[in-house]
Amino acid sequence: MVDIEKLVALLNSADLPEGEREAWIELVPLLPVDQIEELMVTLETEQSQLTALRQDYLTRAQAVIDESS
Amino acid sequence: MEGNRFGGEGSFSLERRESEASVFLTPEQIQQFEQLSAEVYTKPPEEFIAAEFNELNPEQQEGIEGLEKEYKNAQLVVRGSAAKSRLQLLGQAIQRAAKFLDLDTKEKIMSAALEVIPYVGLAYAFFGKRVVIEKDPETGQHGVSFEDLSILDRVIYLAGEALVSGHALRGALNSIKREGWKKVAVPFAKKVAQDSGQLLVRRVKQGVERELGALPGKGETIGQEEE
Repeated sequence: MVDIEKLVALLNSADLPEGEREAWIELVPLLPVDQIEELMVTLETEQSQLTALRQDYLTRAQAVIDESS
Repeated sequence: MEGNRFGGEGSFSLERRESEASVFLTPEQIQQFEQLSAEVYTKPPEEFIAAEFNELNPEQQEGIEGLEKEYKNAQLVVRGSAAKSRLQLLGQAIQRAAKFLDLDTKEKIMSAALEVIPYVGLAYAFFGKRVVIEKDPETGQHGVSFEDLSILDRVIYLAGEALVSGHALRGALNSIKREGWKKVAVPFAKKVAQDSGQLLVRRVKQGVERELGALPGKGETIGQEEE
């Protein structure tokens, strides 16, 4: 059973190239459930990896800025 | 007799249709999906560091720029790999549809793909077209290259390019009909691959600039380049 709310939330928060979110909105109703689930896993993995990268970058950048000489 | 597997038309296809009914979203789910997707969504603002880039000492500025470069490289790898997965999903969907609809020629597959692809072609023309991102073990820099394209991939490229450059598709289709697939589409797909490569690099550069601009103060120095 696909969690539709989660799917929409993932598509909303994904940092997709312009037009791609709209593309998936058109495409999802045509896809079998296993592929929709695969899409969700891909989006979720990408987002968590990007969030982790950004967090790491911000932490390290803050550390550089805090090094007041 | 393996060959008969997709040939049956009578009771077999009815059975198949019933079993497939449960594999797709229900009409209610599709309706819910469409309603929720139509709602306006505003992304929460991204978190930034409050600091004046120009007020940092040169060492710090260098440090920040190094971190940004590293961050962008890592982002590129994640995004490239995710875009590749999404492209593969799309390819599977088309291949499955091609088999199911008994599309046995390139032309038939192409027309079917064009029904689906225009929505996604644009996005994939920018990013993720069999993009291979490899780290050079010596320099540690990431390089972008393209894998060889299958016929299916060329279809995807063509459709993507068609959206980017307006009427290109109609012309390409007519030429393919006249001159044949190999003579027209293969060079065309190669050119698109090259162009998307350049596009990709340009977009990454813009991304870096935007990211730098997000640090207050640095945006001013970017603006001064216009002189």
